[in-house]
Amino acid sequence: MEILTKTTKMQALFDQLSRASERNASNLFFDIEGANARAALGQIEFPTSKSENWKYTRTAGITSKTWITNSIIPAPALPEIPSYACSLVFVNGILDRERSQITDIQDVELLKSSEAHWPEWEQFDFSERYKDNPFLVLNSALAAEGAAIRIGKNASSKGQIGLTFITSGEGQLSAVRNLIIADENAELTFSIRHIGMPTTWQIHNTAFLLRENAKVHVDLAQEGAPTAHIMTHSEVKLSSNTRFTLNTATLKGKFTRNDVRVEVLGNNTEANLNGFYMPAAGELVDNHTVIDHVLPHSQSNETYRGILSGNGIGVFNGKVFVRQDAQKTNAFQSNANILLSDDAVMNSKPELEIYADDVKCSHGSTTGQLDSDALFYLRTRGLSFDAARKTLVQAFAAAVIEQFSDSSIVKSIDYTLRTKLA
Amino acid sequence: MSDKSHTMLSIKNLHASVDEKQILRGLSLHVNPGEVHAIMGPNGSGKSTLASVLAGNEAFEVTAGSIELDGEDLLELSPEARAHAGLFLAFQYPIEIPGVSNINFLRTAINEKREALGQDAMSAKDFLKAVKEKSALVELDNKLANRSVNEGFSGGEKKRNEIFQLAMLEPKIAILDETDSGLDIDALRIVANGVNKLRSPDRSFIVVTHYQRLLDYIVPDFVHVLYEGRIVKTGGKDLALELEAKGYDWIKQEFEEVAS
Repeated sequence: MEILTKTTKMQALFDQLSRASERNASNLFFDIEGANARAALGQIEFPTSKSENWKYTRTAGITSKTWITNSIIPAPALPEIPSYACSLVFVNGILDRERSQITDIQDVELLKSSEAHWPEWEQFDFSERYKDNPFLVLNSALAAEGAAIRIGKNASSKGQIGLTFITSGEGQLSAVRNLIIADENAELTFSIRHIGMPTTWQIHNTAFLLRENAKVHVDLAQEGAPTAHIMTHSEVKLSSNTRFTLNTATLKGKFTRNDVRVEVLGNNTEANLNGFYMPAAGELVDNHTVIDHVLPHSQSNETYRGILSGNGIGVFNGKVFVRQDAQKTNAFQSNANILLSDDAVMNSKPELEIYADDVKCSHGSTTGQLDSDALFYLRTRGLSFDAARKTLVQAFAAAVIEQFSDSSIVKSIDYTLRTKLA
Repeated sequence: MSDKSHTMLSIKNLHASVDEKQILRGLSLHVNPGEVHAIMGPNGSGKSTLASVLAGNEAFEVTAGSIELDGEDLLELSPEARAHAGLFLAFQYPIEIPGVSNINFLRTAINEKREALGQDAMSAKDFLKAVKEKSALVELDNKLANRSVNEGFSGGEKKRNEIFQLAMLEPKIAILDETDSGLDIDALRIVANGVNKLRSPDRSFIVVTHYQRLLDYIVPDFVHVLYEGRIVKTGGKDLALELEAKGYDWIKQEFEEVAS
C-alpha cells in the first residue's frame, strides 16, 4: 500500500534550506505574506509534466538538487557591473553596500524592500498565482529582501538606476522581492541585471504599480553560467493613461523562465513587452506572458524574437485576455524564431481569449531557418557565409534590440550575439 | 566568336539540374573581355538556371561540364569566392532583406573582396564618394542607398539598386538576369544607360532577356538562343530583331529537325 504523506516536495525543499527558520524580515507585510506562503507550502506541488504552464519546461532537475539560501559569502571574481548614477547590487539576495553605488536621486525613494513599509505591497496578492506558478510560493516563503523604488508625482528619472542581482556560490538559492511604484505623472526608466554564477538558482518576484499618467520603461538582461537557473515573475498593474515597457534579453544560462503578467486596470494604457533570447547548447529559455485587458481603449504590443542554436530550447506562451468591457482594445503579438541547427527546439503558443466585439487583435508566430535566398544574395555580393549569416541574424534581432534604451545592455547583447555565432 | 586576346569566361558542355530535373544539357559559351552577349530563348529554356549556376546557387547541381573564369575553375568556388574573382549577378528578383542597410552591407562586401584580393580596406571617404558617383549613374535616390536592402523598393528601384551594386563592386563579368522585367520604359532607359556607362574593354556582360527591347539600349555583340538547355543559334544583334518578328517557333522547328 502506498504511504500517504501530508507534506509536499515543495515543503520538503523549504524545510531543507539551511537558514530558512532564521529568516527575520523587518517588513510586517513580508512577515504576513511569508507566513501565509509557508502555510501553503504543504498544498502546492512543483510543476509536473501535466501542468499546462510548464509543459515544455521541466523543473525536476532543479527541484531535486540540494540548495542553501541567504548565507552570504564574499563572492570572488564577480563580473564588472556597469555604472549608473545609482546602482544597487544584491549578492545572494542581500544588499552588498560595497559593490553598490548609493546616491540620492531627486523625487526617488530607493530602499531595501525590507525597509519599504509601503501599503502598496498589499495591492498584490500572489496567492492566486501559486497554482500557475508554484515557485512564487517558494519565493514568498523565503524572500526577505529586494529593491523598492518609488518615483514621486511629476518626477522623471531616466537611466539613473541600475539593479543587479548576483547569486554566487555552489547551490545558492536566492529569492528576491521588488516593488516599483510610479506615482501620478511620473516617468521612470531603469535597468535590471540577473547574474547567475555556477549552480545557483534565483527566483525573482517584481511588482510594478503605475498610477495615472505614469510611464515606466525597464531593460532587463539575464546572464547565467552554464549551470545557473533564473526564474522571474513580473506583475504589472496599469492605471489610466500609463505606458509600461519591459524589454527582456536572456543572453546565457542553463535555465531561464520569465513570467510576466500585465493587468490593464485603466483606460488608454499602453503595454509593451519585448524579448530577445538565444538559447545555445544546453540552455533553455521560457517566456510566458499574460496581458489582461480588463478596461477599454488600451493597446498592448508584444515582440519576442529568438535565435536558437545547438540543442537549445525555447518556449514562448503569450496569453492575451480581452474582457467583455475592454472595447477598442488593440492587441498585437508576434513571436519569431530562427533555428540555426537541426537540434534546436522552439515551442511557441499564442493564446488569445477575446470577449469584447469591437477590438483589433493580431498574433503571429514563425519559426524557421535563415532565409536561404537572402544568404545566397549576400554571398553573391562577396560576403562570406559566416558574415552573411551574422548580418541576417543581427538584422533579425535588431527589431527587438532597438527597443532597449540602456546602451550597456545593448552592448552585452551584441557581444553575446557575436560570441554565440562564432 | 573572335579569338582575340584571351577568353574571359569559358563554359563548356555544361549540364545542370534542379530537383533532379535536367535543365542545362550541354551548354557552351565563350566570352572575351569587353563583349556583351545576349541570351534569349523561350520560357523554360534554362536562361535563369544558367545565371544561377554561374553565381553558385547551391539549389542547382552541375552534373557535367566546366566553367572557367580567366582560367580558374569557377565550379570549385563558393558564391562569395566567385564574387571575389570578379563575377556579379544582377538578380531577376532582388531579395528584400529587412534590417540590413544597403550601404553597410555593400561596404562589407567591397572590403571582403578587397581583403580576398590582398588589398587594403576602402576608406570611408572613398567609399562615400563612390556611393555618390555610382548611385548617380542609375539615378538612385541617396535615401534608397541608405535604406534596408530592397525593402519597400519599387520594381524599378530594385533593378536600379542591382546595377548600383554592380557599379560599386566593379566586376569583370556581370550577368544581368532579366533586368528588364517589371520595368517601365523610363526605368528601362535609366538602367540601360547605367549599364552602358559601365561597359569597358575589360568588363564583359551576359544579358539574359525575353525581349529584344532591352537590346535596343544595351547593344550586344552576340545574341544566343537557348533552347532545351543548350545554345541552338548564335548571331549578331539582328538575330534579336528576327526573333522579335518571328518568335521562337522556327528555331524550335530547326532544332527538332536536327535532333531527329
